[in-house]
Amino acid sequence: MRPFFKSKQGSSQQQGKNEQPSEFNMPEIILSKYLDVNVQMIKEMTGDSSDIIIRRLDQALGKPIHVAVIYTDGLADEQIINNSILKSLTQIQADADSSLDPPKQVLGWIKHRFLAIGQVTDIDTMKNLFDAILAGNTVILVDGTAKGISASSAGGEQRGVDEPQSQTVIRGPREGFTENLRVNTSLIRRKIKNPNLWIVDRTIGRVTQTDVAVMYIHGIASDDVVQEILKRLDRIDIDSVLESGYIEEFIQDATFTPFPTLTNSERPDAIAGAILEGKVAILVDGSPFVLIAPITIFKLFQSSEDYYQKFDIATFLRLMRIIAFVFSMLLPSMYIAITTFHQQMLPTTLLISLAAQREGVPFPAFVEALAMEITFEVLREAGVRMPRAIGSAISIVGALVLGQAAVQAGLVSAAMVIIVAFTAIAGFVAPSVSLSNSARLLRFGFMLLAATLGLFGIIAGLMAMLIHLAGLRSFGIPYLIPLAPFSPSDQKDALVRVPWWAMLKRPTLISKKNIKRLKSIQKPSPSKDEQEQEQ
Amino acid sequence: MQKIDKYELIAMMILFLIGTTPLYELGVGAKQDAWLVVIVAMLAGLLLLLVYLFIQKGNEDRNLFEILNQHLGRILGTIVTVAYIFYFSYESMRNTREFGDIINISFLPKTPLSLLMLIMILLSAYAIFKGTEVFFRVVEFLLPFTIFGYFLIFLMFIVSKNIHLERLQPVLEHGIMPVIREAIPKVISFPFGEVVVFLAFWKHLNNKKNLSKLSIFSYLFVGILLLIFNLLNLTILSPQILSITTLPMLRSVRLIEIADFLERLDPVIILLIYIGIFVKMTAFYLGAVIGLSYLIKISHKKLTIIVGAFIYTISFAAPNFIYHTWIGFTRNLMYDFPVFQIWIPLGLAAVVMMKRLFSRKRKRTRGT
Repeated sequence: MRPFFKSKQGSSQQQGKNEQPSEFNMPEIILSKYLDVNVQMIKEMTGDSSDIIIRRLDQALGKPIHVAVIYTDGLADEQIINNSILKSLTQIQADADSSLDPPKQVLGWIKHRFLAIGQVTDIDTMKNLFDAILAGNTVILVDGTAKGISASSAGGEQRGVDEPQSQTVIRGPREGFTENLRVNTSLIRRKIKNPNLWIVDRTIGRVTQTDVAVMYIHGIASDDVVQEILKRLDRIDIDSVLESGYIEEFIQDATFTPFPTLTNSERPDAIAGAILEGKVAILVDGSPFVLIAPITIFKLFQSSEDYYQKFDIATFLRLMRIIAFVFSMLLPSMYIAITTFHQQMLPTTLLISLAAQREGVPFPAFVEALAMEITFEVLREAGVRMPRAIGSAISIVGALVLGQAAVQAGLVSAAMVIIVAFTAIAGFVAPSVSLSNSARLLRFGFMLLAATLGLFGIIAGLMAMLIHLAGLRSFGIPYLIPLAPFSPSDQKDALVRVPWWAMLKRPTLISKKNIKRLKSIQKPSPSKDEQEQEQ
Repeated sequence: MQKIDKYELIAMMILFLIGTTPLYELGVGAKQDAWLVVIVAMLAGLLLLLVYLFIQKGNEDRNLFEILNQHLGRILGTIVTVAYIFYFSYESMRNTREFGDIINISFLPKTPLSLLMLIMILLSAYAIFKGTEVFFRVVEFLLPFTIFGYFLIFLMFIVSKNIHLERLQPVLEHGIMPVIREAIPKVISFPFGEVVVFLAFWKHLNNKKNLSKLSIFSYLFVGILLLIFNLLNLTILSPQILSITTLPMLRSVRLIEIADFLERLDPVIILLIYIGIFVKMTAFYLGAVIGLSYLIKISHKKLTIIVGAFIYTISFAAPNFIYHTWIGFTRNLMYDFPVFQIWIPLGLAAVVMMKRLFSRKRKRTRGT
């Protein structure tokens, strides 16, 4: 008795397990011959949702044939349906001779003679039917046949292409990605008109069935990297994907690091540039933020504008960004370390004025800095959440109440306010939000180190960070390329940017094959005639 | 297997040899001829480097410990391997203690020495934990900044007008002998002979064709850099002051004063020295870990912890910094280190050469 009971229990558990993932998968139900049965089933399966439109006609093509036109309101383009489908079905009269065996041939007539629509496919199961209508297509079912046809009618309301909000530039294209995957792929395709730009599709999310597209240039991107990315995407088993951030956390190389091993961009030109360097873009339906992999730390300091401006200013700006990053990470901790442990480092006059300011401040420098930094982080977060209309209030509260009043009340020193303000501004210089976020987090760690061990603590922290960075990889590519491992030809586009005519090669360590960018160095020079004229 | 490329090797050799050396005045016993001591020691050290390279060339895919066991037999090989593990640990500990004390004396007098040294050991352990490749990459990244830093200090020395070239005179006051006696074996053993630890790393180089060229190039580069800093200290502080100063570099840097703004640059030099110390202590630490992993087959992580704990423990051996440097300069450099840097490698090279000669002879006799 007992073993039997046990085995039964086990088997029922197993069944339960098997059923769970398929909970949202459409069962393979073949369409019925009777239209009423089909329509009833669709209504049952969608819970009679109001946006699933089922339009029944009792007479089509001038014959007494029962037809149902099914589509999803909002996804399908009503104009296409009215003009090309319903008009054809109701107004056109079928020839007299074609009345012989209506139900079986009607579908063929509709498909081959009467439907003024480009893409038409046959369907025979409920799964196909739902896939079609949920993609915005229109399904036509005819009474008497167990088949149907789906006509492409996707459209509906969509947001147009706007200027990106997060990565604005002075010079460069003004377009940004939207929430629609097809629009996004077309924005990239329009920039790279080459059949070697390949797109691999995946559907991720058991419930949401979100489309994910992987884009790369076959022949430039490293095959290993592409395979690795697809492998990691296939491994994902989650119920929903609402933004590319979901995917990012699943496929990044290291979770416990403040540094991003994938970056994202809203700019089609930045993505196209990355793809042309041999990187791989991952687009997720419903998100204007496209992921790029693999990346290196120096890429995070580059803006797409660097390539549109003159090389000298671009190089200068890149160095400025790196300096600003270091400031936003280290400035408060340096202040703490110097004022607490190493006063001898300051010139005497500066030391005296600092000491005079700090005289009335009741807290140690670390507490002072921590309080100001946390205040700033709160202000910043409030600024994001706050409705636009009260936005100006926050700057008054922040600048006057928390800055000036705090100094006058003797709670913090004026130098501290300057330090925190500059740190905050420097944090906004990084073109990549994920990079400035990592500086934001590390700042607090360094402040703690500086408060306990002074400069030695900061140096030790930097060394630990460097070891961590040297060990980090993004899809097999070392994070500190091209400084470590060093690559002489990649220096042309890392810390500095050389003029375009001298950028002979693509980054060599990312795309190992097909690295040639220019045929030869094409330094512009005045033609010989002009030179002679000048002489 | 972990692979390193040529830039990584160059960076490693340069930063390793720089190490703590600029902090001290090498060959100060020869007074104003200290710079000649550096030249002599550098050339003598070059011969040693050639010996090490000769050993490596004969055994391309083996590291020091594998070579020792291959050529000296199992029992003697194991004994020498253990000796080298202790030597590397001891060298690593010397650097740890040195920098811990420098920080303690000049920067953080109230922080316990044990905490400072613990942090340093933990950082090195972290680098080794991540693997040889990552450690070499870290060093490669540090090289440009370090060279730039030293170059900046050099420029500031010149601009601040503290250099008095007449302090080098008279040259060779007491003949050449004091110079040579200072150079051999003292200055050979520190820093030039310490290259012996590279026998444990060279096998990881991905293209061994350039090994000798790269090693000799980086060696000479550092030799010249050390010579320049030796000269700077001599001309800025004068031999008399140098002979009674523990850390001459810190003292001469304090003399820099430019435009009432650039002064008190000791933190900069401490940072540069820390980079050198980190590289050196980690390299020796790694050498000991590699050696121990040859003897005991347990995981790399466990070995890192064991060796790290050992180095940390022995770093408390000296009661104070003065004793620590005194032991180093009078005992270790004269009697202990030459065993590992000169005598064992020479013996090993002799064995390798003999074996090669014999095998060639055997081949020839078999052939005829």
